[in-house]
Amino acid sequence: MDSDTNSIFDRKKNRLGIEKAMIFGFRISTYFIVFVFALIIGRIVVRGAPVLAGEGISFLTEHPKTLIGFYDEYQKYHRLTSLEYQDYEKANPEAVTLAKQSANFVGGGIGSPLVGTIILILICITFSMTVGISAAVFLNEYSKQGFFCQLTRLAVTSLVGIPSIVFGLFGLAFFCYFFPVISRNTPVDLSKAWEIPSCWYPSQIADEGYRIDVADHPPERAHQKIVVSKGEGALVFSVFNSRGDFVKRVKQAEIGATKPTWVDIERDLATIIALRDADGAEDFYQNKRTVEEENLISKLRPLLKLRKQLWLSFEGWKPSLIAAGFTLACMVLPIVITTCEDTLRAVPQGFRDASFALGATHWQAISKSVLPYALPGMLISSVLGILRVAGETAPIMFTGAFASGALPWVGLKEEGVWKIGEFFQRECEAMPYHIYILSAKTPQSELVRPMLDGAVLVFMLVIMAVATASVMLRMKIRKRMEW
Amino acid sequence: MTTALDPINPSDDRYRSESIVEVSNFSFSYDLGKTNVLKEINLKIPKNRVTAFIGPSGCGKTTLMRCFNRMNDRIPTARITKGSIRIMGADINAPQIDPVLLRKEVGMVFQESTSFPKSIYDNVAFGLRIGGKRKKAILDQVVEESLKGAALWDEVKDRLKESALELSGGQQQRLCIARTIAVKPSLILLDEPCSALDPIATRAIEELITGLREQYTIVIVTHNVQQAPRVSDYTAFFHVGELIEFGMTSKLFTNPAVKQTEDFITGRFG
Repeated sequence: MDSDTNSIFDRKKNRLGIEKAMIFGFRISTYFIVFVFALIIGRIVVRGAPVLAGEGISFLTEHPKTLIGFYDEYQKYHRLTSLEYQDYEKANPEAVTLAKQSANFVGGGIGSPLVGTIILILICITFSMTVGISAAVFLNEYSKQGFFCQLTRLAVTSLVGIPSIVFGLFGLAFFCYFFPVISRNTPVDLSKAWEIPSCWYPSQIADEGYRIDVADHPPERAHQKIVVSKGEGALVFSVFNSRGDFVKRVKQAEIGATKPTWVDIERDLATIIALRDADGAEDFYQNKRTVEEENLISKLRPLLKLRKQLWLSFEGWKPSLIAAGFTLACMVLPIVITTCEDTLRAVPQGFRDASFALGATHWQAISKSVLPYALPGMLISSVLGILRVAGETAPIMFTGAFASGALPWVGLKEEGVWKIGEFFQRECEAMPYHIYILSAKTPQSELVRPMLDGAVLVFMLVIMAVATASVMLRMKIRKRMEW
Repeated sequence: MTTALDPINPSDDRYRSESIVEVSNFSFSYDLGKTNVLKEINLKIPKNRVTAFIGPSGCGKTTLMRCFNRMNDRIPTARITKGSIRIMGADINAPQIDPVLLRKEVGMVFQESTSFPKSIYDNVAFGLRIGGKRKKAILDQVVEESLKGAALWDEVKDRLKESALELSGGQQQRLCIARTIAVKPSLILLDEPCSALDPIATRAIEELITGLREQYTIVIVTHNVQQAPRVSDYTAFFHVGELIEFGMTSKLFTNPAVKQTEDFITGRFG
């Protein structure tokens, strides 16, 4: 029957062209996302997997090393660590090395960056959760829902839009250079004192004054000698290099005090001693004492007492683990506060009311019948935000990331004692910084490629695994916490 | 509109029992005093009796009840615009009154059961624990007494450590009552405790209320007009923020003094 084709419901009478075009457009957009995702993941996996397979577990446990690559006379390519290269040279004294290249931090594995990133994340979680939960509890439970509260929320949400590099510079300025610290050092004007190596202590007194031997660090100053003398009414520090050539003279006035009195001079000297590891200096005095040193000590004794005092000084944390962790935490705080507030809002009002009706104080109501139910959700939701910033390079590159092949706690054990306090003052290597250094600061060669590919794959896998785990845990918790 | 009963007529039956709550000229606003949701309420709630608050939605009965334990403190724009509430002789809105201590004396059970996602035992012991009582022997004893008081002991005695959320709606509501009486308040406020329950669970709660009146003064807000005569000794009828009529339940339901009350209890409005 022809009525089928000419009926008023005929498909052809409807304008299906636009419909189809729109659907096609939406479909393409969706596929584009999948395509980009697949391209990123695929490329990383394809390049990184052989590296992981080749290196095995040692890629995760070993620390970055310097590699030397060259062709021998048989056109065979060698990739050797510097130690291996020395052995190779010894074994083949007449070896020909062609197209020899070397690159730092491209051999071994990614042990130290991985550990550094984990430490940074832990510091970041500790700080951001403490501050974030407190702020969310205050905003959601205590503060009056008024202008101030709205303003705070606006500030919090605006923080999300601040570029990460700005956070990095903020962290440098605030945590590294300004943050008030309890210090054993006498207050110093750092803008002037930076010229003085922080590693001197007097060893003996020469006729012209105190001669100060420079300790082993930093290496380029290892053999300098400092002569302290009185001149022009002030203490003058003369710096000589290892050959005895005069290098420079630093006047006491340039270190701190402007009016040179003997007290000031002593204080400046004490400053220098204190800047050097204080305990080491003290040991030094106790172990070997010459007559001159006894004299010096008798002069310094009140100052040594002074050194023991604690000062609040605005000298900052310097680039360190804790500065980097706190900078990351500042960056993630807006996300943490927002998610924590959402989680708090999801706890039924009835829990609070019931607690109040049973005679609970405000804090009891929050701590007993709101926070216990909100905490798991807060933690897990915040982890997603924290993972996001864990991959950032900009906030940590000024504040504590440090290209290195060593774990941050190496050398903390001195004479059998762990200096735990100093641990947080260390800098460390972190995954994103490691990748950044390899891709942007290292001349590209076939030496760099495998390390870079492997590092990117491992970093991506770790972040994705933790993120997936936290999403699944959150779903589980949501199911369990249905009330 | 005025109340038909003379509020200071000593022959009125509402004064026969000693009163525990005295509401005098009480006005209350949720919007900083612009509009009053309670208008000059005068009411004396007798001790060891069950008093029902009835009235159409939005008449202010729950608001008044929440004023008894100052739950409205949490609403920043809420204001008492006039009058006072005295509970056991004390003006509860006086500055020296600590609402936390007040709420230990004036317990409240809410419309939706608000049992915490803890064990049954921990739910009942909650009020004691926040009050600083931690000795297990005392807690065990009070938990048992309270659950027995709330006619729930036999049903849950073998599973005190299980989550309270596994109980049925009616059981949870009785658990909330047990939790409230564990603190040993003088006055228990029940805010529509049966509104979410089926008739059988409702009946259990109603029997419980009748049993509790020996020891406690109970104020119950109810939407269910039939529930008031079943459980209460006294009934207060509210309409748009005013107390229309207050009297013995038997009298108010059989022989209401005001036409509006009659219309409401016979279902002609509200």
